[in-house]
Amino acid sequence: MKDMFDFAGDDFAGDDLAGVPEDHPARLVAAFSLDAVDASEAAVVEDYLRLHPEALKELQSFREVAAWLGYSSAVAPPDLWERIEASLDDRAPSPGPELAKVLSMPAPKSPPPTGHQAASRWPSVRWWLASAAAVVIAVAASAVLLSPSAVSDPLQVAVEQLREDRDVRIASLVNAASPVAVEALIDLKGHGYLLAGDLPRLGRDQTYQLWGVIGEQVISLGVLGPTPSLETFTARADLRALAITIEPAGGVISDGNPDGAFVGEVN
Amino acid sequence: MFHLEQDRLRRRIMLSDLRDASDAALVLAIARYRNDALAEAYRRHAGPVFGLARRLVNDQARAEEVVQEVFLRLWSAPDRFDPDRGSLRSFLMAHCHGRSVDLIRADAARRRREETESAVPTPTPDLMEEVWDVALSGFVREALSELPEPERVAIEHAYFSGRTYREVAEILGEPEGTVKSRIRSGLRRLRDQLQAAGVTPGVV
Repeated sequence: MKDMFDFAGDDFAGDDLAGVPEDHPARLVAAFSLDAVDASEAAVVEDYLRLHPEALKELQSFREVAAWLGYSSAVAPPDLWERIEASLDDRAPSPGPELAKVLSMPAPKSPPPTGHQAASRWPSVRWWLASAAAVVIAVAASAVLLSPSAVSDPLQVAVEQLREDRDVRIASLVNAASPVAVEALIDLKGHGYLLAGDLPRLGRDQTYQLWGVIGEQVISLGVLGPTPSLETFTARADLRALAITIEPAGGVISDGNPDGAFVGEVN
Repeated sequence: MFHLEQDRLRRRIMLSDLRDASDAALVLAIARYRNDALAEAYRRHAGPVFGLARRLVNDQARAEEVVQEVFLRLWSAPDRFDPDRGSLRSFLMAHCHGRSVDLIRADAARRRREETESAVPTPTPDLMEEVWDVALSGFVREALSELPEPERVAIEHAYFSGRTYREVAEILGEPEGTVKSRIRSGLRRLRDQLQAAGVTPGVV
């Protein structure tokens, strides 16, 4: 992808910035790491960093150095934690099942879940959604959702046959706040079938959207519309989980809405 | 009474478990609404975060506000931390620095600071001692002192005074491009020296 700073091989993160124009954002990365640029320059640098991973890597190394610069033996006031902890209760968790468990990232052992602390948080999903934004377009070609109009009896026959297949991969997408479960079946070739007919009907200004967790990324697999039924999608072999979110009509490219999400691990 | 003891025991087990947790695991636990995980992050990093905020905003109450904001942000948006992009320490310190600089630039904090500072606001050795009074900071102090003075001064003005490189250039009477270059070369040199000294980025 070409960006507004059109220089050949322009990932200037090495030693030498000779020949790089004075106003090129590569020259601002170090100052940016110390928050020593003004707001307009910061926006330019952020755009540049989005497209230049080496520059982003360099920024992180500078920030590590800066963190050392600011390191001290200061002790926070004794009552400060109590004030922070007191305000945690005001932040209600999002509903929904725990998608984080499908990730391999090791987590500390948890005590038996109690009350609202047992709920997982969608921000961890949004974390993946945000990081997946750059690959959504590339994956779109391999993750095509067919239109609802393609649904027909042969599809239902295929689903019934697939149920008998011992190689079928199945996901049950649930939401803790809803009695509805959406089943997904995937065959060996990656043909996926989503039985979404029980989902509540949405208004015309909203749509359901299907997402797939691949590795540690969450990728849009397509827009289902406000009244999905039996839908099809294409799944990669490394698909680990599915999620259905409610989005504005037309769907979103990334960063799905956590409220009311249905989530399930692919077994 | 029995339940109270059980609760204490469970809490002790949880805390000892978290003390060994990596940054990524800790933040994942925070994402799962574990207050004790946030408490552990606070235990590890609140002191330096508070020290940096106080150093920058020069006001105890405002520094506390910054610390509170930094940790509440970690609680409400743990997804913003990416373990592949650096340590939790640098993430929190960067947020603290950015927020403190916002305060300095946005209101009268700068004026208050400047009233109490000398005409040439270069951080003094005593202040540096206050900031760096930890064992690991010895590496940093040594590395910074070994920088060519123009680089060291540019970095100190930018980082500890919350000034933009343009403002630093004006104070030092140097071209803006020169100050930008000095900050960059100084940071690269610091990074290299820290690595040579065995200080691995991300390890506290």
